[in-house]
Amino acid sequence: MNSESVLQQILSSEGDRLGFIFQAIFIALFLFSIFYGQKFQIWMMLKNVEVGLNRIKRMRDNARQAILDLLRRFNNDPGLESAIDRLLEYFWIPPTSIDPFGIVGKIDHLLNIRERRFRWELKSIAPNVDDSRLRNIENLIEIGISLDQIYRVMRHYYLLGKKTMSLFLIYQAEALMPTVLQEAEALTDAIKAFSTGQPIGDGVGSLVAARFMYGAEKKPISEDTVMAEVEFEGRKLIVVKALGPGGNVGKPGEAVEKILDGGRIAAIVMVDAALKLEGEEVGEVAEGVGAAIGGIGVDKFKIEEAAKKFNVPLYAIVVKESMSDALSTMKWDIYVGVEKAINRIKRLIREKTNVGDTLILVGVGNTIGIGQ
Amino acid sequence: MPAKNSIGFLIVFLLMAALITCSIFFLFLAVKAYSQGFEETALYYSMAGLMGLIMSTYTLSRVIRRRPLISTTLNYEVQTFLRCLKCGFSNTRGFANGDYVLGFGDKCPHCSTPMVILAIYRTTSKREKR
Repeated sequence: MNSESVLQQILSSEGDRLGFIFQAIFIALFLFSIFYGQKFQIWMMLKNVEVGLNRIKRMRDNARQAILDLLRRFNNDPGLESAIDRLLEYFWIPPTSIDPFGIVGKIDHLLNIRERRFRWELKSIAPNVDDSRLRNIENLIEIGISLDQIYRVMRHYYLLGKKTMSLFLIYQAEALMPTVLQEAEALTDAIKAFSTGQPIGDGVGSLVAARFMYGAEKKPISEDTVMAEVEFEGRKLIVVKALGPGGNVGKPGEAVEKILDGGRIAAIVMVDAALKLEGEEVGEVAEGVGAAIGGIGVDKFKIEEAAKKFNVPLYAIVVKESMSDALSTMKWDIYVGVEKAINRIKRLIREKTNVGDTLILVGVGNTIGIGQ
Repeated sequence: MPAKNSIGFLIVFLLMAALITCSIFFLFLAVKAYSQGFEETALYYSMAGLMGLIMSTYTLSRVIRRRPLISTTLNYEVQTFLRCLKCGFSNTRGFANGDYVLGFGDKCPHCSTPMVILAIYRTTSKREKR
């Protein structure tokens, strides 16, 4: 029987037989969708979560390897891997908020203990490393901890969803995955910058402050924080930034409290990086009022409290960038933003203060790769 | 997990490849039927062929796209921009370990004064280009 005759046979059978076949297929698909539709949907969603989870795992492993490679330059001890793994699982328990009174002080205290303990651990692993490099390694380990935590949480929901086959649990994990992946990718981008000590986008505030204080005498004002007094068109400008070029954010809250306690201040100007919304340009500069500072909120609280106590106006200038830009090596667009921010600050000082006034300029952000 | 994932991918890929083959065969039958005057049968076959083709290519594209194709490591160059504050000469070179913004870099070729690093920046990454 040749192919032509087979074709003739198929085509000669009337629409009835074909109609029957289509009806049978339709009923089979209908029954499949009733009994297995949801399971198939769950299977597809679980696969999506699994793919995302594998990517996060690869990022976490890469971060761990980068930390190990960096620390092996200072310590070739066989126990280094286990020491790093111990550090990567380091956690802190936030204080109770049942009675929120005084919670900021408690958080500050716990974070200080954590920081000191962390530095001590790192010093014992790499005793010969200089302070600036030590801060970079500390930042790198923080990235490793964040990636490890993201991986563990997402794996927990993936396995729990797989175990319970709960549609809503898996649905939530799948819905969150793109945002989580974006965050994990931003952290991965930061590894290269922190391993080599390159300036990151978050350091835009520090860079603005550094440009103002360049050439002036610097004095330490609080832990990992420096200040310098400069003159600008007849005003005294007290510039504050974290101590660079190591990966520091310093303690600007404490610094502002000390300066305000010391004398009359006409205004506080804060410069920081701000997360841009989709559609906004990298390096765009915006102006407003309030304490332009991120983090857990300890420094923000201190600055706001001090400003209220001394009735000092708080002005904010931000340079917009994405999460990935904030954590990876600075882009040229951000340097353009720095120039714009400097001009805005100069205009703001001229407009809001008088000749002879003293004001504070705080450059907020991680000062890795930025001196002063 | 990766091995299990590859097997699942292979099964879906083979099923969809089979469906694409069937759909193309149905479309071929539809053309033949139409040319021989069986218009109603040709309509059935073309509907089945098109539906199968759309469903299989859609599923296949979703399965393929789900696999991570984009590298998670950014591939970019980092440049250091230096300027001599005495004579104004400026230069851009690749980043070297120990460089930091507002730190001193190489000596100025014109007046031998150490140049100041004004910027350390990255060029556009491959991922961004994509």
